[in-house]
Amino acid sequence: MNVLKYFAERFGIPESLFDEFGIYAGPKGRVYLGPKKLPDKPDIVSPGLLIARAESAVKPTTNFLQLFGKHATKNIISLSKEQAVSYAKGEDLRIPSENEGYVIVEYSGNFLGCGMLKSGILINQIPKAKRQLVKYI
Amino acid sequence: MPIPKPFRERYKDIVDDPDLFFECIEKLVPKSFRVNTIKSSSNEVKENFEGYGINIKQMPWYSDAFVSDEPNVGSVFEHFLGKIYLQELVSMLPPLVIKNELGDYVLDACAAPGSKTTELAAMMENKGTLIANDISYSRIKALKFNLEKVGALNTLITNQDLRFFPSSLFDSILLDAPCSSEGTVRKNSKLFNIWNEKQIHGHSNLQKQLIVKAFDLLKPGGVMVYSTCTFAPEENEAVVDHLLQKREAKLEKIELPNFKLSPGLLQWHGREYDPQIELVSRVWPHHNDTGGFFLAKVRK
Ligand SMILES: C[S@@+](CC[C@H](N)C(=O)[O-])C[C@H]1O[C@@H](n2cnc3c(N)ncnc32)[C@H](O)[C@@H]1O
Repeated sequence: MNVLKYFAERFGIPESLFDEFGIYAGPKGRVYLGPKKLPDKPDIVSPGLLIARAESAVKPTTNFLQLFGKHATKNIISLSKEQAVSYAKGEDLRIPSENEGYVIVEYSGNFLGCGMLKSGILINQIPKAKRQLVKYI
Repeated sequence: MPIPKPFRERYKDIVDDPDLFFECIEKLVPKSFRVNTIKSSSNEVKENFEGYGINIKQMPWYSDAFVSDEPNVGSVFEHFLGKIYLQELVSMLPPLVIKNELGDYVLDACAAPGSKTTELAAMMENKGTLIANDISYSRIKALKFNLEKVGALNTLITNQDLRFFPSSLFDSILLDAPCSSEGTVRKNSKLFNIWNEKQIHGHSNLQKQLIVKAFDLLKPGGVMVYSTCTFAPEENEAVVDHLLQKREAKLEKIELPNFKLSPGLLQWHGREYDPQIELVSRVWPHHNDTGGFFLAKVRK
């Protein structure tokens, strides 16, 4: 699956944003967004930003959505302040919505990252190492 | 742990005010952070902190650098979002002093965990190519985490011993060398438990190899910063002097308005250095209320 096409279809993030960059495949379906050209030596451990894991389905990364969420037009879930604090901590949230699948989680113009909506629950997709207690928001 | 006697002996005669110096390094370093301009701006951050009622002070020598008296500055929403990066003030200096000369092919030779790489990526406006190299695979994990957190797109991570890095020609290079870290004692008071003079010589030998190799990776006309967070002249002036003996390198004076830098030593323990060495910069903690640091700007 073409990941950029998926971002455009699912979130309305225009493919043209990435014209100046290169897309690279890594192990286990990892997809990276990096510089257009790579030097031939030395070996590169990771090129640019991990933007998705694309195996049976495409899963966007939180780091990608934090950066490009502002270009999205759909499948964005807006949280209240209290919900944003819970989400940053790693909690799942009850969100009355018919929508299913990966969504962009937002609070007041800030993009927290990736979420997974299923049966009215926003399942937390923030990587464990990034979760934190937010005291000032 | 009190300051060891051999440490006092080493430095009392090369610092302008030994009492102030020794008093200062027993105090904790102020909490500081840098605004990640890939995701935010210093104006946005200032406004938000004002809303939280947290006092922050913008540094007159770098508008993206702030100190705060709030011990929990890491618990602001901006930290979760990667809009600010917690970083010691002196650690911000090496990229800053070559900010306008980076070019578009840049090497951060000893990059992990990436405080300076994330700063370089932002200064390059996420364009061009920035190679972030480190010998330690375990430290590369932290490097990767930090680069992804700030949203760096122009950065390639490599895992090489710099001494065997394949030949290349970079526009600019940052060599933030492994060192005895004496200057971080205000952050890590346990440092003196393990401090000994012997270590310094081991570091110095490796640093001499690294600086010559890094210089060889620079294109003609390119610029390199050599930096350490230690006071030891064996790891600072002596290393740069070694480069001047081995290669046709030119030192340039570092200009940083509103920040006090001190010139390099021209001799130490009976060894005389090249007169150009005066152009390197020492950062003494009591001058700017920071950690200790050393910087040399080298032109090929
Ligand atoms: C002072 S730390 C770098 C800190 C980093 N620049 C930052 O700002 O976050 C020095 C680094 O040099 C790395 N190192 C040590 N020997 C090396 C070598 N021969 N080649 C490449 N890296 C090396 C260490 O693993 C360590 O991460």
